[in-house]
Amino acid sequence: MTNPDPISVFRTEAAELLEQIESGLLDLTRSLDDRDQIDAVFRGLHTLKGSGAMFGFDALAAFTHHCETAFDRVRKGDVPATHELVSAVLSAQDHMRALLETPNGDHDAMSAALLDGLHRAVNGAGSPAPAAVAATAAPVAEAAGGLSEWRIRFSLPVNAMANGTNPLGLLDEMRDLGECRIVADTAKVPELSALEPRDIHIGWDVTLKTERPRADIEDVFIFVMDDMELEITEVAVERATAEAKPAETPIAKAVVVAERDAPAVQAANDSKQAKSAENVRVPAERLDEMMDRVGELVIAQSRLTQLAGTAADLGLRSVSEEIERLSGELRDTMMVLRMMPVASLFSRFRRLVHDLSRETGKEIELITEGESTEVDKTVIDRLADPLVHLVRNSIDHGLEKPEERIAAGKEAKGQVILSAHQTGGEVIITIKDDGRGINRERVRAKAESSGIIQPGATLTDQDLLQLIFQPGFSTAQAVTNLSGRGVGMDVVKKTVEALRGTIDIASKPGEGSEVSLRIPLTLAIIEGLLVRVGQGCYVIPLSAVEECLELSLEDDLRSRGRSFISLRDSLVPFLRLRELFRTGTQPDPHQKVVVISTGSERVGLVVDQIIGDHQTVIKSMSKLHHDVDTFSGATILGDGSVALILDVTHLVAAGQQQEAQLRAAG
Amino acid sequence: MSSTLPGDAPLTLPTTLTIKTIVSVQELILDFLNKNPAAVLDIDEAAQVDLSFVQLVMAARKQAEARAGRVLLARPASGDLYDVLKRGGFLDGMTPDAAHFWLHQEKN
Repeated sequence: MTNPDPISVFRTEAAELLEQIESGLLDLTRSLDDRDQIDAVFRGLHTLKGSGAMFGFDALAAFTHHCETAFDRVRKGDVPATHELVSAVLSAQDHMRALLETPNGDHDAMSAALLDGLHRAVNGAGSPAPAAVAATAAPVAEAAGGLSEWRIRFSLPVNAMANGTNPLGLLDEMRDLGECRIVADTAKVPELSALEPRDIHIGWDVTLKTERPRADIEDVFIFVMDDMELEITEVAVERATAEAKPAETPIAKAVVVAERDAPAVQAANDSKQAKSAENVRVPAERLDEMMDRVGELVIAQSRLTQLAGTAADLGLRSVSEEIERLSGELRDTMMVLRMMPVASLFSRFRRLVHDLSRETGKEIELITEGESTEVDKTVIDRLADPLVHLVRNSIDHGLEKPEERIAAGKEAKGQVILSAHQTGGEVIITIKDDGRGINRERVRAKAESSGIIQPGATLTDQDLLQLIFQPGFSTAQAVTNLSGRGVGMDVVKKTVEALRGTIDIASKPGEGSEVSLRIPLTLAIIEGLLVRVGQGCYVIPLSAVEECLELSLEDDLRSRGRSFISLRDSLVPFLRLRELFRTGTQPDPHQKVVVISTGSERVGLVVDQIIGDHQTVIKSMSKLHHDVDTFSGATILGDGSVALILDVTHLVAAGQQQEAQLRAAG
Repeated sequence: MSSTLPGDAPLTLPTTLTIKTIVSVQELILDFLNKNPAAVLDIDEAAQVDLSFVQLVMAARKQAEARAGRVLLARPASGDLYDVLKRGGFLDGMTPDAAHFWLHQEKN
């Protein structure tokens, strides 16, 4: 196995760092005086600058330095955090991404413009005159009261250098605080063959005489404080005057505190080290490879089960059952490895909403719910763009301007709620707003004028609302850079359907709209119900199966022309798959009806035989079959034959259409 | 050079001895020590050096000494290397052995 490319590792970590910075900045917009967030943003910028310089991203480091300086001034209280400053750094942060992705690109003009904005934001925030700074600095020295001698022993997190911290810079900062004697401790440096050369195993013992307070010493380590071992002890105080009051932090007290805190600090460090040891960063493609292997294993195991079932060898059967159990467990474990919380998906919308709020002049509150719901990583990756379209549409078309909302008796601030929850084998992601709702008349008029529907065509409310997902459909009266070009909603639908998902839409005039995406939890292996229709085998996703009934020959004959079965006082339409697939075979004497559902819609599928449950490794259909919407994929059975996987959504739609036609025919 | 013995083989190091190149420098020295019991490190006065290299040299010394070999510097530390030793706190409280190794000072 080769070592990962350090530049590529840096890019990944820098991208995560930028996300953290963005998150911190967005949190700051809600509470501008939040010291923890200010420190977190500053630390993020500092680390990015340091590691950028170390890995040769000089333009990124130089640009980030300006933002770091601005936040350093905020941190020190020289300038207040303002919305203008936060916005300027947010814009700058986007530019940092560009500098990270294309370090050799021509970024000078953009850099200059952004830095100009940043400086205006800082200076506009009221940069204090040098005299004022001196005045604020004075009380600190006064408070210290005199010269203290400190003993500082520390060792940095082993990965500090690899993460961009320059230990020599920390030592220089220490020297800036006062008279310093620094002695390196090299006892823990291992032999060369055992050394990971980017780790740091050197510790330091520093004796510092300074008038500065303890907080200033701790400040030197602000970026590595969380994971390092640090012991600061005040060993002597020299009072400035004979009348000086007793020291606020007497030696004995400092020592006691240090001793009392030591076990707790050690325990915290141990816990952090244990936590970091529990996590391993694995490239997503390796997980995909492993998933493919598990898929092949499941197919091979299926063959083994089939062979063992026909053999008289009890030992073989026993081993086969054991392997079946183990491969099932392996599959489940693999599935969990690929799962990620939707929080990683939702977090990016905070920035989007922030930007759109400023762009449109609308006051928007983004509420996220169910962020811990987990979905397959591929689903998360593929859903990002569709959700951006949906949120943009909610904000652009749905939410009204504040004055319009007030006139309608609503709060000036509109709400967009992003939520996720799991039901069975699906996750439902909902985008809801409390805006004006979808104007049905305008949707119908636009669809008629575009030739999507015939004038005066009879449509159910859901069908009417679904028209907004048609290619080229837009009701926006003006094209904006947010939406209104008719591009997007059809792409949303295609993407969701490619994920074997569905979109439901609901809207109440004046109250808002709600778009729900139902997406399978995973795309690789599903639990399926294997059925036979004629001579062919088919798989129905088990998550969609509600129940199975027997359809006697008499019932079958009686229901011809109607194709409804009565199921606990409700009529459920059914489809004869033998007819749909034109098998040309006679029905089995004891046919079965498999009742499937998506949401509130149900349909029965008449099959010849139910073979049983089946772990289904999904294989894509060829390009030649892309327009066959009855099947979502194929799988290989134990005997090597192929079974097609039924697309439940399209079958239910076909059943509902049949029901509508029969009802219309009376 | 001080205290070199017959059999001490010179190893000329690249001019960038920082964390960017430290993995390949480690491989270079390890490979050399596998073939030679002693290495005399020839570090260009203008070489770029950071703390990772100083740590690497210390690790190399430990390894060589544990195997009855040794590592030496071809000339006293100067340039960037001296600067790193100074800023890193290696000169304050330096043992006679370390002073002999890094600065070629005579042991008393």
